Amino acid sequence: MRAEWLLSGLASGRVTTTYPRQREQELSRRRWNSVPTLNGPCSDTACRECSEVCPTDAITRVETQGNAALRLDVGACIACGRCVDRCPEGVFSWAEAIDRAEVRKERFISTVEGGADQ
Amino acid sequence: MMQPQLAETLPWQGWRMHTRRDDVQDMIALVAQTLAGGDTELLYYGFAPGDGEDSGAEPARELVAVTMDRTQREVVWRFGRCEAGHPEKSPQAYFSSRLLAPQSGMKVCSEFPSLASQYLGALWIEREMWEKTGCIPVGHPDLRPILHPEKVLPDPVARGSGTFHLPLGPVRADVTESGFFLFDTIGEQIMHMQPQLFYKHRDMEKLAVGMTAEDALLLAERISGTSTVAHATAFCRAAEQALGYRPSLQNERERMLFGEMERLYNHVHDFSQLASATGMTVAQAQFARAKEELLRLNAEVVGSRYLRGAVRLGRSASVDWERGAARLTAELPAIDRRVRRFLRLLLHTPTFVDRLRPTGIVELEWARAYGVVGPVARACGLAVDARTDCLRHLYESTGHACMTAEDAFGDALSRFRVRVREWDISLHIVLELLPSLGMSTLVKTELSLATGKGSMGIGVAESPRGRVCHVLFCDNGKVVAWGIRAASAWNWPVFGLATANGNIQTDFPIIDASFGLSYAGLDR
Ligand code: SF4
Ligand code: SF4
Repeated sequence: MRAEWLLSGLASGRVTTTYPRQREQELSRRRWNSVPTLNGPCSDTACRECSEVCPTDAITRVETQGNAALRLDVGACIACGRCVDRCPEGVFSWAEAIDRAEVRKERFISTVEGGADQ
Repeated sequence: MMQPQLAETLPWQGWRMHTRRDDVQDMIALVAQTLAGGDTELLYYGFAPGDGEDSGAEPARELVAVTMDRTQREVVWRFGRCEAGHPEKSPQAYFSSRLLAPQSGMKVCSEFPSLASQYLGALWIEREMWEKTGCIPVGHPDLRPILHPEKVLPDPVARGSGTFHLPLGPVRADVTESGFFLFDTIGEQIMHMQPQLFYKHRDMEKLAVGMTAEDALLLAERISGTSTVAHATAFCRAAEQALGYRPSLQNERERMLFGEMERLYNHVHDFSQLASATGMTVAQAQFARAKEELLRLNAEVVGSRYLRGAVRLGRSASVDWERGAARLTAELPAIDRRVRRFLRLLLHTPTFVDRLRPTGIVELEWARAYGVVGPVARACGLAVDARTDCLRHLYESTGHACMTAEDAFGDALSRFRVRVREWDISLHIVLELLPSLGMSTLVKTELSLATGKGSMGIGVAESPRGRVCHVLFCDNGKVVAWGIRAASAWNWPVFGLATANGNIQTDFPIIDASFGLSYAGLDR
């Protein structure tokens, strides 16, 4: 029995990965839903979908002179995926990073200015 | 009063649902009587939404108890209105001893006869009901505050020379959530143990009031991270019944599959915890590795390691089944081979088996009296499993069978063995269900909201820890009241008893790991 345990412990070799050295490798292999990211400006002036469906109000549309800027606070996001699913323009997609740390809370907020056709 | 509607849904196909409205005295007596029969189980017990028509300042409280008769295949919702309390009677008059004295300033708004005095499974539920509303369960044997652990600490019970009182927690090691345990010991022997929980009470049932069912589902997923699918499934089943929507078989199959994927990683986690509690470090590391592999597999198939967002209300999951099925069939057998190998090694290792054998025994009569569920109940030989109790027609084609322990001692080893057998069954169900998912075309139906005045629904699912039940009252598509009964809520009261059942201090980690209870599920 003891020999079997010894063998079983040794036989599987090293299974852990060095992090963050192999971080890029890990990330390119796996696509996990972490938080959404903004791909570009929103050019649909009539649509309000994302700010309406977001359950935590992490998305706000700020309208100034017919120009709609999008503000996304991933610190408030619960990764429900509604914005990624519902945006007809494909403005939101899952971020590549599965790990994200910031020193200041405000850094979690990203904004894009209004669309190109404005 | 709202007129309840009970639509037939796929999970309750072939079941009869009744509502009964009785005088509260009769209602409690009837519930206690049916529960004593043995074939009936209490699915839910709590307050139904009040209609506020009462003349008093407090809305009239209405009790609801939902029981399920397995052999008759019927679910009965019993309602009973609480009686007005006696404001002239001071709250203290309801309590017999100092130990049971209520918090000062609490007024008695109404009262009802205690179910806990006849059915022990309702002990903690009624304490919580009382503390939330001030309605007194008259005759409750142990009425103490439960919701605010930071305010009152439990009193030791055992006194005298040589007895020690050992507090443990509320901060625990590892990723375990907060819980406080007070041990009364004499030497190494544990004489008595009182768990004090609800450190993670978020009042989720209240938070959901006024939300749409779709938003409330996000809350349901977050009740307890390791039972995400079970809670989401039970919630969706309740909401679909309340909103008058019949899910397709494809939807239900997906939920079953996710449920088994959840069971797989949870059981492996429990193996790992048990190996760690007995000092089997190689096994612990290997099971932890298998768990991580399963979590990554979850993420690859669904997008979320803990399967969040997998269960949708009235819709099937947005999963590419062709790819998902290929990944699962490719990876699962290898993980399974490794897990089985280490399970076999463990079961042949005397230092492991001897530590588990007569440890943390749950007596059969306790399991019956407290309505214990899940692997803990099955380790006592009770065939309690929602998948065979009420979801049989769904699971029939998957070859699922309720796995009670072969040697039903009710100890840590029996619980371990039950999980070992369930590992096999879960894996079998996953592989059995996969082809049917890959083939069928996606049925995408939008949820139609029932426009009736009021409606209600009940949903049941089998989580890795046992039966999860959600009760939902809706009005115009909005949540009016929500009731959650997690599996751990039934098992926690027995945990203290099992710990003090002839065990010593060093047995506690083993008992803790073998129960595998969730704190968040009870606290919610
Ligand atoms: S993923 Fe959900 S919570 Fe996060 S920003 Fe999108 S809609 Fe809001
Ligand atoms: S970002 Fe997408 S969802 Fe949001 S307003 Fe623009 S088009 Fe609509």
